[in-house]
Amino acid sequence: MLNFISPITESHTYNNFSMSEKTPITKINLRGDLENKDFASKAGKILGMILPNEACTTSTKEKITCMWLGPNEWLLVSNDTIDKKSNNHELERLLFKDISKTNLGAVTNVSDHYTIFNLSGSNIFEILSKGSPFDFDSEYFGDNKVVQTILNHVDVTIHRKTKENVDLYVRRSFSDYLWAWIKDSSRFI
Amino acid sequence: MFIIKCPYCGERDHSEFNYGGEAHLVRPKQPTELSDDQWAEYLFMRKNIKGLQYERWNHSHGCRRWFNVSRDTSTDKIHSVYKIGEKPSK
Repeated sequence: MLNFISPITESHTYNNFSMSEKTPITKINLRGDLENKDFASKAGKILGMILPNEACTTSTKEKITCMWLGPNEWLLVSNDTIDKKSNNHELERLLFKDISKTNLGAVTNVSDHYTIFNLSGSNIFEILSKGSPFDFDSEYFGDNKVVQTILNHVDVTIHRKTKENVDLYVRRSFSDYLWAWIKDSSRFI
Repeated sequence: MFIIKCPYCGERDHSEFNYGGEAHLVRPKQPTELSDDQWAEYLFMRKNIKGLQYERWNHSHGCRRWFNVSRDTSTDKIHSVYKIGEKPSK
């Protein structure tokens, strides 16, 4: 990590809602055209899974979770935490060599770009609904779905692992603000 | 408040989107051969009609993709949504 200084130092619990910051994991933004067979097969080979093609879906392997962000954009998230001081990402190196270098797509390391809040409890979506226009009760938003939306004016990516366990990705510069907002909102549920 | 159906993500609230102006404007092939009036016509003049209008929208807080929308400007009713490069269905 280049400069891993998080504004969030505590975890927060209120009734049965709790949130904490997840630190730090590799996150890589991958872009490319799935209809290009070279790209699809190379990415699939390196990741060991097929990139999700359907809106808002994810696919998971032991080490990596791959989230759909757009028709030609994915976020690859490591399931393991890494050393705070380390700036080495094996996956990035492999992807960069086979995809970026060969002009098949773009690989960007966004590890320091996002802060992840891990939310757990039975009323997560009630809290999130207070500041988001997204319909969290939608039948399309089940487990292992990912959605990019606004939460209290801030762009967030919400990964629903189960109904009671959600990862929320927010830009690091907004994390302090959003943390304070969620903390405050959770008191009124 | 109205709902826009993003061709990639599905139905979302309009606050996730940004408006990108009138759609299907064709840039003149030889801008240097145009008079200032003709260039200004292309650059600045928009229809701004009351009724069915073809517009570009960007799902800026979602998948960040551009697409076209045909919307009735007086009622905000959306008639169709289609991808960039596609022709509107009449």
